[in-house]
Amino acid sequence: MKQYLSIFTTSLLLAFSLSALADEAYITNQGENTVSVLNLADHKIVATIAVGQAPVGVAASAEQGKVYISNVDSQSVSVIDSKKYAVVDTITIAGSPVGIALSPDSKTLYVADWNDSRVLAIDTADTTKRREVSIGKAPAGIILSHDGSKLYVANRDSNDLAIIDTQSLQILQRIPTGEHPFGLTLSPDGKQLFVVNVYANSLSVIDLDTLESRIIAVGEHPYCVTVSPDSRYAYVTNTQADTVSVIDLEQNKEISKIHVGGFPEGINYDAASNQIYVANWFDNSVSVIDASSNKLVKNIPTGKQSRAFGQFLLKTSH
Amino acid sequence: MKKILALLAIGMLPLTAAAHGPSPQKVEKIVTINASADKVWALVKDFGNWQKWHPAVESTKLDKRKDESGEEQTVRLLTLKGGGTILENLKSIDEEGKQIKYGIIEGVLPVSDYYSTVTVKPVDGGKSEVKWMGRFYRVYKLNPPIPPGQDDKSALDAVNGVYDTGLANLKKVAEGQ
Repeated sequence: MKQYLSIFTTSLLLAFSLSALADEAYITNQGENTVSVLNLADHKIVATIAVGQAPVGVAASAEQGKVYISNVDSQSVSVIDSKKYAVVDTITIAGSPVGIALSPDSKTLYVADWNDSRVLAIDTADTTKRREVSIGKAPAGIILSHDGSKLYVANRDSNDLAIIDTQSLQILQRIPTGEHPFGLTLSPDGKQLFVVNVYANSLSVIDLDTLESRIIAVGEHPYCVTVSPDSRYAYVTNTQADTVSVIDLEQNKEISKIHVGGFPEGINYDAASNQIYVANWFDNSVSVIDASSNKLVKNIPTGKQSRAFGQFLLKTSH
Repeated sequence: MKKILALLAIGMLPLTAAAHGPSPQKVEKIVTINASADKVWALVKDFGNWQKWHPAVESTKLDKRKDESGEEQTVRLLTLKGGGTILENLKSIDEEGKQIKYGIIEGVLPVSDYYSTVTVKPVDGGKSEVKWMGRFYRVYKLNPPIPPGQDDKSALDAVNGVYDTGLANLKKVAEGQ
């Protein structure tokens, strides 16, 4: 009997830990001040969490079990405990926090304040400890290098990309992009940086060794970008075409267009499943794309005005 | 109607394609019309003739011009009843999905970076459903204090007014009343 009980308990624990360890997407819903948590295994919404006003950016830390959400209208960052699905802290940001990113060790949270043209570096262990760097106008998308030594910032109204040394918080380089750079990402091999030029309908691809860049045409009013695990394909959301452009980075051109929901914004590639997740602002949904066939799998209802700007996948299962 | 014109008058400011305020605003309106989707779509897709159904539009001048990248685009200059104009560009017409997309280049609406879609779909009983959606920012793009008439509410009120009166009259015109 004892043995049975023990097996029973073990299997219960196992079941619990399995479900708790599923990868998830944290989708900001600007229009209802919430975050929808999407389970990537069964595509169910497992929680809807109230956050600050007009949430936009997401930075997820599996190591900490925390997800950071920028709330542009309430001038704050909500800190979500990903096990409790609850906000456990709120960090006040004097300004307009939009782009948000974590250092690889999760010790520093970077927040772009686009009205005051600066980036804050916040100690996640003590959020009163802050440093800041003034940069170009309207910093939007931000991301860290894989080793955490550099911060890349898309300066939307300066039409350039800034490379910042994270130790000294000095600007190392500013590289011209197309008009109105917004979303950005790093290739998984760390060699190239991708910046979406909203008004130019293009993608800037910057070689991080030579700092030379090339431009690839995409669709109407593009916003965000993600890259396949082998760094071969880039995927760009075209907000005013309701499509995702698939870019072959060897041919340097668009090879496919995938129709998704209305006004697609944030986009992330899930390497474990080879599925791509897209947040749709007009349609209040997330589109799932199968990357092996470049086909739309399904649209999942989320909350009002889904944005999911940044790295919104929480990878806990491996 | 008077309310719309009053709201329009407040926003007599040039629009620019520069920076915008922090959060985009959204308006979404749906109306069911007792007329076929084909009939309603014929009215909606006729980009140069919205005065046939929108009560705020006096007349429309259709034109072609080159955009920043040198590509030719279709534009329309709407002259509003009671004065004021709005210059808009046609982004696309999807015949299969019965959807038109357009934006505002400049004009009297107190909005910036305005983008809109109108979609017509058939519903049961030979009726149709029209969905008009807009995404835009307020005029004032910096931190508070925000000048009167350039805030989120002014932008939302104006666009709500345009969509409500437009869809109500589209229904009347399409239903032949």
